[in-house]
Parts: sequence; structure tokens; C-alpha cells
Amino acid sequence: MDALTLLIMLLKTVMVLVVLMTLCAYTTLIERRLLARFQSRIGPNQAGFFGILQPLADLIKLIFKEDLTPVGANRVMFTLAPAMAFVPAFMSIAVIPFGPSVTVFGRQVDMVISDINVGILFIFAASSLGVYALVLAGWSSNSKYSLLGGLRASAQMISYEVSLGLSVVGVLMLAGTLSLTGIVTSQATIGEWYIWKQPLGFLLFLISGIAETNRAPFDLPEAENELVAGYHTEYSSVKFSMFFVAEYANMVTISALATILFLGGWSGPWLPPIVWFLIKIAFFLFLYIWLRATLPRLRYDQLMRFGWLILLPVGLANIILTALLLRLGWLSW
Amino acid sequence: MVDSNVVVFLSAGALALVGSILVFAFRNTVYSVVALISALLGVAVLFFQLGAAFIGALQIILYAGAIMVLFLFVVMLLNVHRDTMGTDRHWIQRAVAVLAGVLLLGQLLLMGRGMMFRSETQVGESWGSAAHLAESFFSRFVLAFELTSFLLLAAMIGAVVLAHKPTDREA
Repeated sequence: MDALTLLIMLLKTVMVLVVLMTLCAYTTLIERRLLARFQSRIGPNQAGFFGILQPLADLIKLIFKEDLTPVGANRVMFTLAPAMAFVPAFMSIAVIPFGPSVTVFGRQVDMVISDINVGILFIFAASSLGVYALVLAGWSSNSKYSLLGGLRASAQMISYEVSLGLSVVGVLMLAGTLSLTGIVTSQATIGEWYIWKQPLGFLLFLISGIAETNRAPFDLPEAENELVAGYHTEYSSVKFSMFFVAEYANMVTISALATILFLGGWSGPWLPPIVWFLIKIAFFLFLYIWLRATLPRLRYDQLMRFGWLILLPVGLANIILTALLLRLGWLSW
Repeated sequence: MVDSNVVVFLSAGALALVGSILVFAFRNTVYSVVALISALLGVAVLFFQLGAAFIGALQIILYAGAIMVLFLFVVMLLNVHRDTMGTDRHWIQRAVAVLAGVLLLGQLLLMGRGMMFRSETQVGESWGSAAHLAESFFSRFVLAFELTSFLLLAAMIGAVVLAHKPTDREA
């Protein structure tokens, strides 16, 4: 590895991280503005033009809050848990391809930090590690609300991880590869997008993706009327903001994954590929907010029953159906 | 300049080793579970480095992800502490442990000097890939694969039977 390759690698990593952080920060602003619209309010519009400086103000406020640790809390785990949420959330972005390879100064540069051939499994691996943060945060806080929230979060994430995994199998069968770049290049035109061949898989992915990120209407881990704020009830200041940013980073990852698997990734006419990629991600992020403003929260038993008795069988049926249709040759037009 | 491969190998190996030692060194069982998770992650990195990204990813998803969450649940909910667990162990247990340890050490030494399990076979480009694994599962190792699935099914049914409480109607 020569110095230039290393430099390009570093530049890409820094750029992707900066874009992801900015995306997370501005999703919070857009969420607050849109929620306000949905509820006939105005929302934060004072800091800067259209409230554009609001995320910065929020950040400064959070940093200057007192960093509390509850009495009787397990200090080591209490400190470690936010990092355990933050790292996996930002790890998955490393394998997300956001454009085709370009040639800069006679060198081919891939528009992805690391193009491993099992990209999709890497993302699932990272997301399965994110569960520990919630469990340990809940356990170490020495608070019953936190513990209940942590247990709920992990039970929910384990349950919906299964249907999330099953929902993408159809796409993987059609693409014949586990590489995310390969999946995108196999759907170059709008007619080849996998959403048309895998409508059921798309729906399953969306639902379990929302449940996996613990967002409304599946935001039971932080159901404020029962659990105050769930697993991060006792957290404040920077530690709290790490949980917060991790949640939004996970939303971005799921949106990016939905774009790659079902909507052809960066492919699209006229505009540069990366713009298309961001537009499609923005669509899914808007969907997240829209659903949050529209749907009431499920009850916990409904959530579990829905995951295991409806999503899981439908996911399995979708795989069998896809295999059957593939064998009959009806899915290749 | 040090080869980056060596750096990755040494740090992942150290993580796996130190993690494994800490599993029994910690008195707090939750810490032990976290140490075991990091040891498994270290092993996963070694798989990635060997070019078996598929196996590495599965190692994280299944072992570090799914199985260890269950461990953590049990430890957390039962609130087990090492102090409350019995310390009296049978002498046979100790003897077997020492014997197994000596045997393992001998094997490692032999392997290190290249006298055992030395294989010079060149593996192909597709080694450790999903396609390669699937192919060997469904051709050469199909019997073992099916038997394993049978065993897992039996274990699952056993667990359901053990955990099942008869309802009022059945009782």
C-alpha cells in the first residue's frame, strides 16, 4: 500500500464520516420541522435562516449539560455502553457504495470505503453488535425504567433481525451475489429495480428496518408514557448524544440499504449518481418521519406477535415463492 | 515500515487471547460475557484476514451477535455472581483439566514446529466464499450437514418441551 492509496483511503473515510454526521444532524432538524407541520405547529425556526443552525445549537447545549452518573450504577459499563452504540452504527457505513468507480488522475477510485464481497452480511453483523449497547446501558444504569427499556429493545431487535435477514434473501437470490456493489450494478435501469420483482420483500424490509432501528410505531424501548425514555433514561450530555446520533446513523444505514437493495442504488438519469443516491435516501428518511407523525405506537404483545407470527412466515413464504419463480424462469425478463 | 497485515494480525490475536483470559479472570459475570464477545470479535477479524470474509461475518452475526446476547440475558436476569457460586470442585475435574491443558500445549508446540497438521495445499481464489461453502455443504459434507440440522432440531424441541408449562386445560 503506497502513500497515495493511503491518502485516498483517509480522505474517503473522513468525507463519508462528515457527510454521515451532517446527515444525522440535519435529519433531526428536518424531523422536528416536519413533525411540527404535521401537527399544525411551526417548529424550531429561530436559529439561523429556516432554523438551519438549530442542530449546532442543540449540540452545544448537549455538550454543556452536566454529565450525570446515577448512584449505584456500574460505572465501567455505563461509560462503555454509548461507545458500543456509536461504533457499530458508524461501522456499517464503511461498506455502503455510494457511486460507481471514477478515475482521478489516472487512478481508479471506488466510491466505497471498503468493497468486501459480503457487504450485506457485514452490515447485519454490525447491527447485531448494536444490541449490546442497549442491554448494557439498561443494565448498568441501576434504574428500573432503563432495565425494562433495554430488555425490550434487545428482544425487539433480536426478533426483527430475523425477518430483516429473511426479507433480503429474495434480492440476493435474484442478484446472485452478496456484494452491495454487485447488487447495484445488476439493476442499472428503472425496470430492473428489485422492488418490482420483490414487492413483498421490500415491504418486509421496510417494516423490519423500522422496528430494527426502534423507531415509531415500533419505538417501544423508549415509550415515554411507560418508560420515561427507555434505556437512555439516566444518560445526559455527550453520552446521551452518542445514543442519539447512533440511532440516526442506523436510520441512514437502513435507508441506504433499502436504496441499494430495492431502488437501484445510485442509478438514475441526468443527475450525478451520488445525487440520486442521496435523493433516494432522503425519501426513506422522510418516510420514517411521516410514519412517526401518522401511526400510533403498538402495544408490546402486538409487536412480538406481529414479528413472529406474521412477518416471519411471510418472509419465509417470499423466499420459497422467489425460488419457485426463479426455477420456472418467470422472474427473468 | 511495518506490514499492516502483521499489525492487524497481532492486535486481533491479542484481543482474542486477552479476551479469553479475561473471561475467567473477571469476578463480575457481565464483564466475563463482554470479554468473551471481544474474544470472538478478535477471531472474526482473523477470519477476515485469511480471506474468509463470509465465515468472519457469520462468526460475528451468530456467535458474537446472537448467541452472546442470550448469554448476557441469562447472566443479567439471574444476577449470578461468582462469589455465590460453589467453589468446591471434584479432584477428577482438576485432573482432567490439567491433562487436557498439557495435551493442548503439546499439540500447539508440535504445530508451531511444523510437525503436525502441516498442510501446503494451495487454496483456490474462492476459498471461504459463500459459493464455496454452499457447494461443499451440499455435496461432500451433505450427510454431516443434514445430521447437524437434525441435532439442532432435536435440541430445539427438547428446549421447548422443558420450558413448556402445562396450561390449565392440559393440567
